[in-house]
Amino acid sequence: LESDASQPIEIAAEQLDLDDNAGTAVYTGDVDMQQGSMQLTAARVEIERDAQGEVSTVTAHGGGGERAYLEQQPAPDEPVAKGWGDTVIYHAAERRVELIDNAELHQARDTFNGAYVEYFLDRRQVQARSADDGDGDQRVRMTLTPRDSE
Amino acid sequence: MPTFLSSRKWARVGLLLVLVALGIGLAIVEQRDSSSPGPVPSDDAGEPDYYLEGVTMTRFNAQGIPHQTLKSPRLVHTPVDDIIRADSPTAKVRDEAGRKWDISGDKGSLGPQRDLLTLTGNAQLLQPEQGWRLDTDVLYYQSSDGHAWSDTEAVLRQHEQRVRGNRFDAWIDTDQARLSGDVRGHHPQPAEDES
Repeated sequence: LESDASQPIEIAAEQLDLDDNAGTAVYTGDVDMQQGSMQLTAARVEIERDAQGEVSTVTAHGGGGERAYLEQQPAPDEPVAKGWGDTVIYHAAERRVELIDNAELHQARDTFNGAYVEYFLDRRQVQARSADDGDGDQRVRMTLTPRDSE
Repeated sequence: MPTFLSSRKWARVGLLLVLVALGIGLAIVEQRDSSSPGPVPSDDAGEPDYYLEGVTMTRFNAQGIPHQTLKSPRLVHTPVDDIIRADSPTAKVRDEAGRKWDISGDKGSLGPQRDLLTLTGNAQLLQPEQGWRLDTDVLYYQSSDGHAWSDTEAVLRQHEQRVRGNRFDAWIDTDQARLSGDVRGHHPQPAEDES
């Protein structure tokens, strides 16, 4: 939702490691992060903050055979957008999400698969690309559902 | 007609009166100052061999640099276990980077070789420079390796953000901390106008 960005981030996990010299906060173990309508689950989540102490980047890694997962409701009357990737990076200021490796995005009734999918939360814009090394099964595949068939 | 007393004699009488007045004054002061000593602590660790009141204790490292200061209104040492017990202790600790950490609690004990400091009741660890504050019930600090830890529920705060966990560890020389067990983080985003 539009208000998500100003909501506090609530996180549940098994462990938090803080390194003030490196400026990082790393949550591990069944990490479940919530910010307004956005939810992120992963095995490991690294949080970086900017000079004002605001969360600037959240990097989530899957683990134990599970990909990291992010969902968010773009607007009250729109279906939840869902994204998966071995790595999911949320850029708070730009409201941009990167799904990296085994990337998959379900937005409304459309789906996108590939090595890399980029999704702009507010503009609902999607960019997808395959792996650089031409890795067969990470080619971009899209399923776009015509509007009148809904 | 000889004067009743010569002036020299008056001087001696005057001096005598001053001395007597001074003696009385000191006696009064002595009386007021002797606050009765605190109760001898009955403690399963046994009788203390000394206690101190209004104490500031500073410890120096091998290079002669003060690295730990402990203040307490009342501190008691018991020889049988070589433990110093302190009321409302506040300790200041300096890490290798020269940053100061403040440690406090309702009660404190400094173990043998003065290496392990234990704070019990409203224990707090503060790192003022970066705004870190930890609240827990029982906090340990081992000065030999700069390790502070707690096995009781701990809440770590920095500015508006806070995180709780069942256990807490901090390594002050490397400025690293860990919370583990049912960790819950709350990271508010500064409001639009503040950022």
